[in-house]
Amino acid sequence: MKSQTRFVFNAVHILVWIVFIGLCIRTGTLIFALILNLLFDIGEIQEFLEDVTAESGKLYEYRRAHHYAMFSLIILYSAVHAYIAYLAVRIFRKLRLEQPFSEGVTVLISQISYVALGTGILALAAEGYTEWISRQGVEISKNWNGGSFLLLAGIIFILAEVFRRGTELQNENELTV
Amino acid sequence: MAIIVNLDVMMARRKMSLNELSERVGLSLPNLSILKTGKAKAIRFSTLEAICHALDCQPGDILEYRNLLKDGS
Repeated sequence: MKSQTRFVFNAVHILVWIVFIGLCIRTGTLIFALILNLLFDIGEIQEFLEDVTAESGKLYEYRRAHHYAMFSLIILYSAVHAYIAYLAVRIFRKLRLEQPFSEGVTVLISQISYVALGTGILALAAEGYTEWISRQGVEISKNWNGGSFLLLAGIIFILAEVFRRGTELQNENELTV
Repeated sequence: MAIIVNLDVMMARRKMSLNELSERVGLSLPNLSILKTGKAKAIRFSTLEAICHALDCQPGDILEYRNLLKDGS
């Protein structure tokens, strides 16, 4: 195995870990802020939530239920991002460059494609909800990237199928005497 | 699988152990075991040739086709 490939592999592995930890911290902060916001009416937390959700602040004044629904969607979206990063971390832990095709890695890649598809559908639903709220006169500048996630899900699904076939071929090769 | 490997039968007829066959054929014991237990997905012509040479037999003595649907098994 080329040392350059090994270096890039290790670098990306570390990067994926950093992204995963970052997303976990972000999701945890959001959940904590939401709980605090539900329990206490603190101005600073309200401002923080408005910064994160890219709300103009009118949504909270317009209707609290929509504010919390929108915020819950953002938390769910962030949590799913973290879960995808977690699956990516698991892939890097399982992947052996000498023999990359394995049943475990194939299952994980398939899982990422399904989760990405779910995230895409969630993002599209959230986009629709955001547009609906905007039509009510409350401007929210939040980009959910629903289409990008659907495209990502499609590409990863194809990759998973290639891996599945690769695993079959590798097993066949190993059982050829 | 419908292809049955009768390697153990031929080895018994020739009174040859797995270790001896492994040495004569130049195949590792785990690979020979995979072949003997019928777990192998494919066999190279070179391997088959070496086994036939070592056991002094024909490929048909080692490999057998059995119609599983007809046998009902």
